[in-house]
Amino acid sequence: MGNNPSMAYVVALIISILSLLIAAGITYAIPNRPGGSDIKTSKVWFYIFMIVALVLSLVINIYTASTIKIPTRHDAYLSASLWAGGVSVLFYFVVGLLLSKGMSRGKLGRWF
Amino acid sequence: MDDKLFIIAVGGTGMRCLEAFVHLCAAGMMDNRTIEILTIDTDNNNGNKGRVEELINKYNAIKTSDPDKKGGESTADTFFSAKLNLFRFYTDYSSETRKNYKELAHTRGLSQKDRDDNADLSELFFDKETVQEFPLNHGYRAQTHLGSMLIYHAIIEAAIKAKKGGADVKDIDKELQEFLILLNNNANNARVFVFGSVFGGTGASSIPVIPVALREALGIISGGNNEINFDKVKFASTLLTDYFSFSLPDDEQKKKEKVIADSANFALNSQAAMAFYESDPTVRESYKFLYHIGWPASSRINYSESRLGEVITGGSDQRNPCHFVELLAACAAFDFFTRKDLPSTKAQYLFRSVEETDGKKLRLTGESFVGPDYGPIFEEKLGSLLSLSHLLLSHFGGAFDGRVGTIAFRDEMAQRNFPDFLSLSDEQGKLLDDYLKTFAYSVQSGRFNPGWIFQIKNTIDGQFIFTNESLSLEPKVLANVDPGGIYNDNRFNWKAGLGFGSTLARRMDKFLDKVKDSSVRPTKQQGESIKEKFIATLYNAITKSQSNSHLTGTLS
Repeated sequence: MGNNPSMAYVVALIISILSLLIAAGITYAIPNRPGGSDIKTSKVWFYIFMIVALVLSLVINIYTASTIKIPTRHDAYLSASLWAGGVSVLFYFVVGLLLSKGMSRGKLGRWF
Repeated sequence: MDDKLFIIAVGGTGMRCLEAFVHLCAAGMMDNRTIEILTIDTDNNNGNKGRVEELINKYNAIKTSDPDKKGGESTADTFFSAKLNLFRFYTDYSSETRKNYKELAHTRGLSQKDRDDNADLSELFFDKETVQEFPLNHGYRAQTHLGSMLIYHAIIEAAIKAKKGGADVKDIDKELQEFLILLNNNANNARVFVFGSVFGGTGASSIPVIPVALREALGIISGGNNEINFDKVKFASTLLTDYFSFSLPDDEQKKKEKVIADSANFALNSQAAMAFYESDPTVRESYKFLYHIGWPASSRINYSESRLGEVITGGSDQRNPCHFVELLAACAAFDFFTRKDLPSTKAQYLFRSVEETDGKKLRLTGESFVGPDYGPIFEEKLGSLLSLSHLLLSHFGGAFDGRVGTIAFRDEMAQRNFPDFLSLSDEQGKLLDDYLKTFAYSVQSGRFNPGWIFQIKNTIDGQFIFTNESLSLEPKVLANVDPGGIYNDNRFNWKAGLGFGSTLARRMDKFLDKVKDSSVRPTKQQGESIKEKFIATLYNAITKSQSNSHLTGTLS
């Protein structure tokens, strides 16, 4: 992987998108249940994968940073990794919200 | 132009046949039609009469809450599509001067010789000690020779009073007058179906004389300007022979009541009635179709089995459970109302046989009830109403104490970002639940109360369109019933989505998604009020969920 700190953001965004897709897939697989327990379950999975997105992007980026020998570049990449983690969560949440509101009558509407 | 439709329900059996017909209307079998209904009984407190009138009131309350638009408007391709207007008439035998035939026939201002001649003539036909003296307020108790005369004169008397006006006119006389005026206004194109039995009391007494009595009454009310032409106002009726029995009264009760209908004579009564209807020239001239409906003698139900004590002669305690033949009678009315052409000839007698398996069990399909043309539609519409009942009563718990399934459903859909029906009030939701409990079932204080269709199934020894689970008498089974899997013929059951989980879970999943889909939005002809739109949305979602649906508005 490249040592450019911007790669940290790219990695975080890819992980965020993948997490969102998996969360959506799980939500669609949960059938409507009278009583609405499916709504709560879908919300829980949404937030679980938001945390997964954060943790996974941090782990991968921190590992990548650990492979950089040049200290200044290592520090820059590590710093970007931390910011990228935050961005991935924000991106995941905002896109999730937009999808949920845009398709409110579908199953993604359960998220919000 | 379509003929205007009228129904006259006479006596306890007639009321139960009408009850079945109202449920057919609730299922949407009479799209775009307005039906004027007259109930006739000798016993205003009769339980069956009270039950069907309450049912029609519930039906109308679902259509609209606007007191100025009672019964709403007729709609199409939805539940509760027909408009039902109810008129009531009953004979009043409550006062001392009208309590029995002897008092009724008493006339003043006659000479002694005339009085003696009248008494002799009466005794020729009516036994002095019993028939002339039994109280009439619970009906004619299978004394049809007396009943025919009395009901004829009751109708004429009401017409005379209504025409005269003044303080003597009661509400029931006015309602009969309104009904007759409607008949008069449609005297060139009307169809009148009469529900009643031929083996008992009130119905058996009334069926032969109703067309003639109404013709005379209309002549009185119109001041001689109009009368019914039986080629333009077409009558039909059921010849419903005996299908139930009850315990014999003991000697003490016989002595007290003087006359009590004896169900051991019902078969004989039916046989005599059949011979009469076959040959009587008045009947053959005034009726176009007579639908002969019978039931195996070995399968007659005994209404006294669950009752202790005296034989019920009438009154509010006479609320017999529903029977399959009453549904057949309602379908006979449907057949009469939907026939494209009616012959201008003397009465035709119609029969239909029903399929039996090798083990002599019935095998009933929609075709058994309404013939091949409407059979599949009948199954789908009645099944749709049963699906709706299970959705709201079983799945959303409306059948159980303290819960309103319609409101639970409304609120859950709002949780799923479908707030379209939040303006449906709790009161409106309760109205729908109440009707469906009457149609299907309820559980109150742990006690299971079978509604109409469950009672019908209970009288059928064999296969009836729907699965045994969907019409089980066990609340635990019903709590898990699949609203989309009620048909024996799997071709009509709801399609289940792909995925994990049981068929029930996948069906409900797909169904709840479909309710939100724009393809099930109600059209204008399905109704305009919030209640009608709610019901129409569910109708669309249910019928679109059915595989191989035949419903494309063909009953409109």
